Amino acid sequence: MNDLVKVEQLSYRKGMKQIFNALDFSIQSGKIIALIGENGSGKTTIMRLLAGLALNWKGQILIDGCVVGTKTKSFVAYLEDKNNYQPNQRLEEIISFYDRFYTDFDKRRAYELLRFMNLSESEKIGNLSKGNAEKFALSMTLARRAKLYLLDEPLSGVDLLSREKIIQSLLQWFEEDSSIIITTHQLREIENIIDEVLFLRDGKIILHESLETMKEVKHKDLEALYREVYEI
Amino acid sequence: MTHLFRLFYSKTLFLAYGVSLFISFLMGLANVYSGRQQSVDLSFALFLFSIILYFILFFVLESNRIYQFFRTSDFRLLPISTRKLYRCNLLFSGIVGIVFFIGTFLVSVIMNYTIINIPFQIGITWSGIIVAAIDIFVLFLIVQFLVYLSSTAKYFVQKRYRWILEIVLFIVFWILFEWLLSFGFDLLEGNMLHYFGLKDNVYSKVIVQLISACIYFNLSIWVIDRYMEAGDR
Amino acid sequence: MDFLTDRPIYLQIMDFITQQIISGKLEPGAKVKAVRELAVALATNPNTVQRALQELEREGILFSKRGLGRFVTKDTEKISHLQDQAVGQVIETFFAEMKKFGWTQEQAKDLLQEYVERENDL
Repeated sequence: MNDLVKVEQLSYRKGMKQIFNALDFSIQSGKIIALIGENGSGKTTIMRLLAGLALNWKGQILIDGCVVGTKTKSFVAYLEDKNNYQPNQRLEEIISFYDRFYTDFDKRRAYELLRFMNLSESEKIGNLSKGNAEKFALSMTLARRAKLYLLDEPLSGVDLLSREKIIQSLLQWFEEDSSIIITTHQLREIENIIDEVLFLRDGKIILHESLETMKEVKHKDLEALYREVYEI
Repeated sequence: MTHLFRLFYSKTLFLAYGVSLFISFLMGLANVYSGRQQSVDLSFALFLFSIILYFILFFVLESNRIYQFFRTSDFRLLPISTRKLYRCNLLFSGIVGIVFFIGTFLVSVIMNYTIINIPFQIGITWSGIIVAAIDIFVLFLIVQFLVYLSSTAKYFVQKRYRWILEIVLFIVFWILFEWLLSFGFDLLEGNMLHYFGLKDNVYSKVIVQLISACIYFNLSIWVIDRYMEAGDR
Repeated sequence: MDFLTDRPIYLQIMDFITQQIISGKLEPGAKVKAVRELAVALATNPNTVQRALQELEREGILFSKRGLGRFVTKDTEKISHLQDQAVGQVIETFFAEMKKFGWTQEQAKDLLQEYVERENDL
C-alpha cells in the first residue's frame, strides 16, 4: 500500500515559536486515523499544514505524491474547528459554492447527507444549533470525493445523538481509497472506528500504532493508552 | 474568471461606495444653495474634495476587502492559485473603482458646475488621464504589497514594537512611490530616449510604471503564498 | 454494538458472527452482509470488519464467491464442531468460576443438577 501522506523532516515555526522540528510520519490510504494530543500539542497545526493553510514550512510534505499546494487542495478536504460561514447564507447557497469550486464535490451526495442529518437546505446557517451546524459542515466535507479528509474536532460541543449521526455518516460515506484523520478528545466514541492512533506531545509524535495491535499486545483501550502516554 | 466575482461581492461594500456618491451630492447641494455667490474656485475645491475623498475610500475599502479575502480560510482552501485569485480581485476592484469613480465624478460635476452654470474646465489631455490612471493603479498595488508585508512582518516582531514597524513601512511607502519612481524614470528616460528616440516622456513613464506594477504584483503574490496564512487563531 | 475496549475488536466481531451461526440466526450457506454494511451496523471500522471476515474465511467458517460476497459454510459438521467448542467454553468457564468459590468439579456438577431439578419443579 502506498503512502497517501508522507511527511519528512518537517519543521514549522509560527512567529517566534518553533512548533515542529524534523517531524516524520506517513499515512497509508484506506485508513481512519485518530490524531490525539493535549491542547496546544500541534494537532490543528498538522491539519493546517496538510490542508495547505500553514505556510513557510521546511522539509517535505507529500500527499498522493504531490507537494502540498494548490494542486493538493483539489483532493484534500479540511473540516475546520470553527465555523466560518456568514450567518445569513442558506445551506443551499453554501452547497452551490462548493459545487462551483470543487470538481470532486458530489451535489447528490451532499443532499443525501443533508437528508440523513435531517437538515433543510432552505435553512440559514446562522439559525442552526451548534450540533446541526457541525453536522452540516461535516456533510459538506464528506460530499467531496477527496483522497484525504482532515476533520478537526468534528465532535466537540455536539450533543450525543448528533455525535452518533456524525460517526455513522463517516462509516457510511467513507471512500475506500481515501484516508481520514480525526482530531478529537472524545476517545470512547472514536475508539471503535479508527485504524491507527497518533499521539502528539509538544510537537513530537510519541506513538503511532494500529489500535488493534495495541489491544492485542497491551490489552489496553484508548483511554488507558492515553493515560499511559500522557500521565507522566 | 467572473464566477469568482461572486465571492468578492458584498452588499455593505456597495453601500459604502454609494455613500461617497451621496457625499458628493450633498457637497454639491451645499454649493448650489449656498447664500454666497458661487465662485469658480469654490466649485473646483468641492469637486476636487469629492474626488479625493472617493479615492481615500476606495483605497481603504478595496485594500481591506482583498486583504480579508486572503485571510479567509474558506477561500485559501480553494484549489485556485494565489496568482489567479489576486488577478481576479484586482480586476474586480478595477471595475468597481472605475464605475464608482465615474459616478462620483459625474455627480460632482453636475452638482458643482452644470446646475449653477459654471463652465467645467480641466486642463488635462487623454494621455494625461491614462497616465494618472496607471499611477493610481501602481499606487494601489504598492499599498497592497505594504499591507501584506506588514501583516506578515508582525509575526517576526514582538507586539510592543509593532507600531514602530508600521511607521517604518509608511515611510518606506512614501520613499518607494515618490523617489524610486522618479529615479527609475530618470534612469530610463536617458536610455529610452537614446535607444528609441522617444520624444514624449509619457511613454517612458508609463513603461516604468508598468514594470513597477509587475514587480509589486509578483512581490505581493510571493508574500501571500509564502507567509500570509488564513484562519489562524 | 458495544465492544470491550481492551480486547481486539476483530476478535469480538468474529465471536459475534460465530455466535450468530451457532444459534442459527445465520443459517448454513446464508449470505453475510457486506463489509461496509456490517461496519455501519456495528459502528466500527471497515478494515476491522474486513479482517474479522478474512480470519473467519481462513478458518473455513465463511467462504467467498467472487463478485457475490461472503457466505456461511454449508459444512454442517464444521458448524456443530463450532457449537461444541462454544459449549465447551461456557462449561469450562462455569467450572472455573465454581472453583473460585472453592467447589470441585464433582460438587459443581451436583449443584448444577440440583439447580436444574429445582427449576423443573417450579
